Amino acid sequence: MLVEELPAVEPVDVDWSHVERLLPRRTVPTPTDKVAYPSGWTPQRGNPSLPYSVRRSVNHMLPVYLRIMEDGVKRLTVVRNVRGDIWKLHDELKRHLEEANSRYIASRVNEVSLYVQFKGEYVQQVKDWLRERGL
Amino acid sequence: MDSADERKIGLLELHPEVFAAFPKLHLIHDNVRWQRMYRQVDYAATKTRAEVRGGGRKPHPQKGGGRARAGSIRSPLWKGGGVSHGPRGPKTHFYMLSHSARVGGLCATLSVKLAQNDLHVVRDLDLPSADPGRLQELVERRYWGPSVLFVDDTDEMPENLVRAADQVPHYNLLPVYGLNVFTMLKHDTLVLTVAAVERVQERLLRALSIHNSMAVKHTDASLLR
Repeated sequence: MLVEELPAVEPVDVDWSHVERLLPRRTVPTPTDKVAYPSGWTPQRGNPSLPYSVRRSVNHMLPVYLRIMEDGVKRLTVVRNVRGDIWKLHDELKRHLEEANSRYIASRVNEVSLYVQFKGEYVQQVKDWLRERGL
Repeated sequence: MDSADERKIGLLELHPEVFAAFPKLHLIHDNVRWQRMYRQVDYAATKTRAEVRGGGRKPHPQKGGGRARAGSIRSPLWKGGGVSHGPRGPKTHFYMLSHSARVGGLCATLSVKLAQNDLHVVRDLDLPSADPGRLQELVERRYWGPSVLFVDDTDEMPENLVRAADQVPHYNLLPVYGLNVFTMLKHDTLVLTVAAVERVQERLLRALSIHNSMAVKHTDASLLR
């Protein structure tokens, strides 16, 4: 078809918001501000008094993970992306976990990859402890 | 870059997530390895006993010769026979490093370069003349390393710089979209323009907030918000 034969176009006012809200997002959006969230999630408040901090994941979640190895026998709690004084965080967290669980907990610090590991399943306790500190 | 001596023009704020990231060496290594390996093709190939010419007939009867039993003259045991477990034809080593590893590697490398005083920011890359000797003198006066990578935000660069750097093999020009870990490590000094720094920061910060599952390259950009 020649350019001259093409039909004329005219702009039409359409509200596309109902379509746009269904389109997939490219980046993770910042969460809406609320007083309390039903899931128990809390945003990172930050704590300048502490010499360490923990970087949240891309989805704004705490980087505490459970690694299950050796067919379910070995369970490790990992805290990733620790910034600042990693040994201080390790010492304080370890003391808290040992008191809370009344047992010795084997642990490991990796300064190069910035993670702290505890032998056992303490993900929820670690997350609560981090949330109390606003991390 | 209008004179050989450098002049401090102002202060630039750099985002810590991009330029003060922890130098994760494993990410830098992974990126360099990926950049080398994803395009590597091994052409080594051997023939198996089925592919070697000949060897269809039993060379001698099963029993009675005093010799070892044999079914074919091209068995892997025989000289001139096929290779049983050799390389089998062209092999590609293509793989894709995860999005977060590639972005993390770029941030780590930029941070390393900045921390080791190998990253310099200039206002623009305009030179007074296209003389490669003058450019070399400028680089030496400012104590920039033997090899320099000039990074601008677009691929259209000032003509004088293009002509001068063309004569010198270890001065190279790169737009922001071509920035990669291998090239940044290969050159001793990185020289970025202010526009390039801003573009790099903007793109890397947006990439850092993309989850791996969302990092699909070949999608219709108009459909994604």
